[in-house]
Amino acid sequence: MTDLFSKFDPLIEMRANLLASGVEDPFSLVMERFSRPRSRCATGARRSCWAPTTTWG
Amino acid sequence: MCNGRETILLGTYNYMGMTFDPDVIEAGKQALDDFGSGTTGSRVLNGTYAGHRAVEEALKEFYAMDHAMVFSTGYQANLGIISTIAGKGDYIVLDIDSHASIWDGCKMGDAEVVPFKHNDIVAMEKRLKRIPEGAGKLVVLEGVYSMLGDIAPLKEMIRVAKENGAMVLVDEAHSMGFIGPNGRGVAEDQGVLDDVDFVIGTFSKSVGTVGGFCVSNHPKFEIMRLVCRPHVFTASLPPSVVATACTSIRKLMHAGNKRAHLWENSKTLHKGLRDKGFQLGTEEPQSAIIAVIMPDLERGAAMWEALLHEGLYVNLARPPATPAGMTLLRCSLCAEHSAEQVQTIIGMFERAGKTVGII
Repeated sequence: MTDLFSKFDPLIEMRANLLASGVEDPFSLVMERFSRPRSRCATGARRSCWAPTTTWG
Repeated sequence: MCNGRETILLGTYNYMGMTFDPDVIEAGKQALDDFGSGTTGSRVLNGTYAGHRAVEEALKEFYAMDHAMVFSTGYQANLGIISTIAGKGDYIVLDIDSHASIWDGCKMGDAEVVPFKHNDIVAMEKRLKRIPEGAGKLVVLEGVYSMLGDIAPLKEMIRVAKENGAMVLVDEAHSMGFIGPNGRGVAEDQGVLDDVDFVIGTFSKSVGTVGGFCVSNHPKFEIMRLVCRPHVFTASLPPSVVATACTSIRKLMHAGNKRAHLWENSKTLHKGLRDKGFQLGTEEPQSAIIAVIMPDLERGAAMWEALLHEGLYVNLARPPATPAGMTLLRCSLCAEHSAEQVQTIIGMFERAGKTVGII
């Protein structure tokens, strides 16, 4: 069977190498809790101030 | 209420009646309080909240599969998955009666599109055998076809697809929650779910809210989160929506009694309408959709209006949405319809049918 995913192999490898370097995955961050606008607890117990939400108001 | 009149809804796709489930509603309210009204972002940026992950975990458990990816609509799920995995130089073999979202996904991906006659296994095999050796092949099928409410012979079709080296995608939008021992759809019911590479579904039918998804066991599936444009370049679902979906999906895992009742409703309505002399889309009830075939658009519209005056809402469907130029009154049953209501519905059809001169 032809694997339709083989076209993504270079990207899969690039991503694996990036994550293997120990950096946190910048494209799968989970917002776990919300305390007030533009200030949220992201992964773990760390509180993060949010600039890039496009909630301009 | 419709036009100031009490109306039975028989055209909503709310198969399992989850839209007013108290637990589902409470989950949505809580998520609004805890997470606000929207994410204002893409899943790959600031738009993945705990609730998005939770509903993907619920989907993985529901289907017993390794990967689940949620989209903002069911339309986007088909658009995204099909256009991303089958690109230029690949071939898509699909049923000619496929949903518009499937056709649009094919167009967006730029693969060669090879349609075959509805549910025709021989025609599908012939087309698969004509595809050049070594080319990527994707067979796209639906569990339930929404216009006539008929199901696909997935067991045979998937066997033929695999024998010819194709990957298989099945859209189970109209079967999830209802068909199969665990509500996983027609592929589960026919014992071939493990052979399906991608299952597409929606939250806007049995789940009772809005959204779409794909589940898969493919080991490379997670890369789809980064390369699938309708997933990346759109805002993620609001927290309240994913919370209601998650609660609903978990309840559907234990909804055997509701599934049994919905089957009873479907069988009763099908037999009742056939006994009254209506022409139906299937010989036997195959899903929660009962399609009543109208002689033409004019009488179809008159019948639709007569039913509304009786206090019954159904879907009027006409070409190009329908196959073979048919005009249909499409009825979708709900597990919350009582046996008494189904009898009432049959009576309404009989009176309206006589008024319009269809029976």
